[in-house]
Amino acid sequence: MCQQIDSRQENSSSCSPVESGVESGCQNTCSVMDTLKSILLSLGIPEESISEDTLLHRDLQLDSVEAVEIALGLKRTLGVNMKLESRQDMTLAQICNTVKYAIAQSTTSPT
Amino acid sequence: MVDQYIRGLGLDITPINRIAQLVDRYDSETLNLLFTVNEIDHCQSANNSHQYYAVCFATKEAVGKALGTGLVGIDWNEIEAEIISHNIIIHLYGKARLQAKRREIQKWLANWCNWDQHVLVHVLAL
Repeated sequence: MCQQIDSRQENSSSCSPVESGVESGCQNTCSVMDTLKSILLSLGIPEESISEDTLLHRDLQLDSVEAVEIALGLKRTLGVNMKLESRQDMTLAQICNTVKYAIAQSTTSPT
Repeated sequence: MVDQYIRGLGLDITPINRIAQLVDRYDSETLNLLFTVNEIDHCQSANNSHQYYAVCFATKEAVGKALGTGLVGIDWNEIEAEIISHNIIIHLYGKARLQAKRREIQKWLANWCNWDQHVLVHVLAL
């Protein structure tokens, strides 16, 4: 089943459904990238602009509202708090790695 | 008279419809990444909820600019806007508060206006 980011998405890529309490190890780069990709598609970013090497700000020219939309989408879908404002532009692969690290941290830290 | 040296200035223009789309798409818990509980409560109870959310969002951007860092290293919900008529009282928490302290900011003056489905927020750090 594909977890939709919002009802406007009709041509987004599919991704594994992820619950908030993500089990350690169930998130591979591919599924996090699929989630990120579907969020970007929902913002109207053309699919051909989206690759692992794509730089979030330089290549996609996102404004602050769009950056927030991505952060909120990641929080709702994967349960991670991501801050995309940084001094250095990040590639989509780097964002995925940061998300995976945050998921791993949240599943290993004591409640 | 106390000499009030201007330590920072921030301006932001935010389209109301963009914030409306964002707010309508997410639940309060998710929005909490962006807005404080007080902001959500205040905006939800306002007549023009989307406009108030846009003011809160633009305030965070404008305060970030006045702090000289933008929102790098500061969480969105560490900057809180309390809207009173066309004035805004700014409350800072955590890293935003620390940055204001570093910049020796003791007081904020902030106000907002709207035109053509946008809000403009203007803040002065003193």
